[in-house]
Amino acid sequence: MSFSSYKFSIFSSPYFSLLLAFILNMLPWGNAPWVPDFLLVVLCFWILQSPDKVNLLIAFLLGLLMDIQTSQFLGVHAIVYVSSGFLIIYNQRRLSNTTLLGQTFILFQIFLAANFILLLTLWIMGKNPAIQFSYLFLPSLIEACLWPLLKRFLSTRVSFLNQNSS
Amino acid sequence: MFRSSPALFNQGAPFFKLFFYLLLGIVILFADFKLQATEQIRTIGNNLLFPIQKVLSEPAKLISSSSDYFQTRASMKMQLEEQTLQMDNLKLLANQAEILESENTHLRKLLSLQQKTSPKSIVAEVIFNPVNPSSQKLIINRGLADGLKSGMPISSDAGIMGQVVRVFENSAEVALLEDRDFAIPVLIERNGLRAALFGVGRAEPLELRYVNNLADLDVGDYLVTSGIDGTYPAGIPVAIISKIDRSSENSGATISCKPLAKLHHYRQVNVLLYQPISSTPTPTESAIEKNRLRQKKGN
Repeated sequence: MSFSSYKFSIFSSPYFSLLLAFILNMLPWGNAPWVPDFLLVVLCFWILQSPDKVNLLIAFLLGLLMDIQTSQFLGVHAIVYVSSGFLIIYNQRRLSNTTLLGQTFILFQIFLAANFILLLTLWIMGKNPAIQFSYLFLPSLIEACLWPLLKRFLSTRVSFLNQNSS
Repeated sequence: MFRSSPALFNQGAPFFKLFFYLLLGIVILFADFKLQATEQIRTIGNNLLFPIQKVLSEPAKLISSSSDYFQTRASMKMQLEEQTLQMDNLKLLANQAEILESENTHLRKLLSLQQKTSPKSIVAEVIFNPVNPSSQKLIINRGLADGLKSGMPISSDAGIMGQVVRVFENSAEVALLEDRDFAIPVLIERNGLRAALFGVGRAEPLELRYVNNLADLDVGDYLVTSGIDGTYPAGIPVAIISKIDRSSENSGATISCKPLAKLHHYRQVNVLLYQPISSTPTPTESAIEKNRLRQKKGN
């Protein structure tokens, strides 16, 4: 990559970008099916890139905060974030060995799973009459489209060591 | 393209951690869903998030106000004419209403009935509606500090919009009419028939239940609050019957209604500070203390 390695150093701090993503989520988007979960995408990115800094505990706590933000039952987003974080770690080798397009495709499946878990949890609690497909596919698709963008913006510091190989 | 991160090698999939956090999540979920035991956590989190939410709602307000600013002259003129016409009509109505009200108070005095007072209300601003696939909620900028309590009705100029379901210090959460399992006791304005109106889910029509299959109902009938449960003051418009399906294979007819207030159009809503009269309040420490003082004074 032609990015200079320290250009975006503050943006590539995990905690700062997670905070930024949370603030993005808090913008008054309205309640529409297409609104993506920015925090989920950024969280997945950092769990993949530096699992030593961003682990499942942080995913859990951010999930609780997100539940308060969306006035959902406490724990719904926590479960979603922890399970998608787990899926990222589980697929770490596959994700690290594919191209950006391949990564995006795998991430699409993970986001699909995450949104499915969200709807399933609500359905089990009897709050959702049916699992609506627009709420399953639209956000997953948009979140997957965010992935390559995010990768360009955030991976400058991490890819510093890999500059020659990529 | 190889990552040089050592994390690639140092661990397998953390099954144990996953199960631990999932279990913790389910426990918290259960505690919140069944026992409502997590209000403390929610209050702390909300206090943390509220200032940011408020700041972030500003740009949206700016956009909507600037779009108002750039309204064309022609449309404004039209609006003005429309409003003058409306105002004239309203004046006429107000005159009539005054006469009726004075007559009414006189008659009530005669009957020595309890004076019916209209509830006080305050205007609240909608901060945002959270992304939530299962329900439609609003967060408003009034809370405990303004005297809001859980259960108070929310209305627009057209009618009831919903009910306060959770109150924080400076904000409150409102469940809208179309929320699933939302219930409100109503009566048909035309003939005084009592029934209950239920929310079915997002963007679905409301459903009128607990009415006789052969009841006298028509498309276009207005539903107003009956005031029976004590949560809502009586006589506030709620919805209009939009469709009656008697041919369904269910035992009763399916009656769909449309809320009169546009639930997603307003930035300002009215909170009715309505205290239920009929329900017996649980005596609090201070109330007991007051009673004692009063008795002493009496002695």
